Amino acid sequence: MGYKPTLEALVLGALWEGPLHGYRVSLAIRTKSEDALRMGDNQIYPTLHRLEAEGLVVAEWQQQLGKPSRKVYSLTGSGRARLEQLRKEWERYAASFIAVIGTGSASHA
Amino acid sequence: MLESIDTYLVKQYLAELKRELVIRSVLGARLEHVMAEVADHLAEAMEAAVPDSEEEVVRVIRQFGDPKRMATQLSAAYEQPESKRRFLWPLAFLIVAFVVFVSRVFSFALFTAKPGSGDPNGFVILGHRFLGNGIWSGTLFLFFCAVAFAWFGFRSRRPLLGQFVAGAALLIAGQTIWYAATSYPVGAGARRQVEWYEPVPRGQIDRHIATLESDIAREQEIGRLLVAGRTVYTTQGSPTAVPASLKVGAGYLTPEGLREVMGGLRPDELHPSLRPSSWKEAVTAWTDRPYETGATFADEAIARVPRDIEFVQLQIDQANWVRTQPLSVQIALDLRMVGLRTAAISGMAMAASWGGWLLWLLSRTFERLRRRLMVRQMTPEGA
Repeated sequence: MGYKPTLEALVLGALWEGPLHGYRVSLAIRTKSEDALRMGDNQIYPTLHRLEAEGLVVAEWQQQLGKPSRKVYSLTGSGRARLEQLRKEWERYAASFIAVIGTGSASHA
Repeated sequence: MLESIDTYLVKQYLAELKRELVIRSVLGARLEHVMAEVADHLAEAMEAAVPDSEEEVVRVIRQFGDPKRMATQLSAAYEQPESKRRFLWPLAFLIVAFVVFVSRVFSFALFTAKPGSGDPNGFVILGHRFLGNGIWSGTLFLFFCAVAFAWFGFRSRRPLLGQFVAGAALLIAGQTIWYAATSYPVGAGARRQVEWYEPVPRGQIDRHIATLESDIAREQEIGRLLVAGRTVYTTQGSPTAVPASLKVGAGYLTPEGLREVMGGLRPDELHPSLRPSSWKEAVTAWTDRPYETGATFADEAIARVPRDIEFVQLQIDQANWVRTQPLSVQIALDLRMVGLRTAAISGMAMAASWGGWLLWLLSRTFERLRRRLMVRQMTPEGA
């Protein structure tokens, strides 16, 4: 048994504060986790495209001066609701996990 | 120099990714969008990392990840919603087919033939009401249905079986329930040798039997007139001896012409060969012996009368029998009435969808050949 929708939660969480393009989404995951959550950057694209197909994020191509257009993603209402749900699930999962393995202080007590 | 190295390595990576995506059928605009997105990502990653050695460039590209894995995951991500659509399309079409069927059934219940419409049983002929322009409309209708089912077979990319089995089962159940609730399944032919069943609305069963009885009375009258005709239309006979009931206007009636007129056809609608104007032709039409049995046209026509009467009488017997049967027997007969034909029609629709699927297989083979050619063109020389 494990917590499966991890990457989906991370991508949605990265977009929580506002629209980002792919590189910034992976950077946000890395920096917010202080480099604890490292993965191949390209892992986020299949997740982003699936979330887009499911209507949890929307994407638009933004023009850049002197550069090719850039695809920028933002959360939809359903995406926000899904993230809330994932947060609750994660909290429940983490609490269950802690209940079993205990915290450092509790195990010494 | 470093700029050229990172440009070269990124291009190499992008070419590899494109190749992997093409192999996994990520093509067209979708492929272009993914490539643009990845190129943008790598460009920004390079800007941020400011690599000062080739190893540093390789590290940034490695950080992005394995192209094969990305292509596999992207292909799977696109596959998921498409699979849902593949299932939903045929389902949606079956729903439409069901609605068409229901409207057809209701139209049967709502529209009945007006008196004198020409239908001897007093029921509207649905094909004529819906496909007023005759057989061409029917053929076009079937053709468009076949094309539609073939299209869904093409879209679904697999042989559709379950949907058609489920659809046929639903249609058979729906029709059986509907007919059991609204009509009697009246058979034509002897009880154990029924040739076909006809759903006669419950409220019209008496009228139906009365119509059949009048058919018998008409057939008896035809028999009486044929016997009379056989005695006057002879080589020894005279035109003046022919009664008015065996003539039409200035001409004479043949045995078949007599049957047509008695069946309700207007004399002017009769084919000229059935109402000859010369006495000689008329006599020939009654006395010729074209059959191996040696019987004349008149004898054959007279011999047919008791057979026709018996056939109609069997329908009357069937109608009287079926109305006295418990509902379970009527349901079983309704099932027999609709089961085979619905299964046959569903089978034809399924065959059309399989035709579409085979077309897709063919197009996929061509697509694979085209892709293999593209991949070969993208592979760098010496690789």
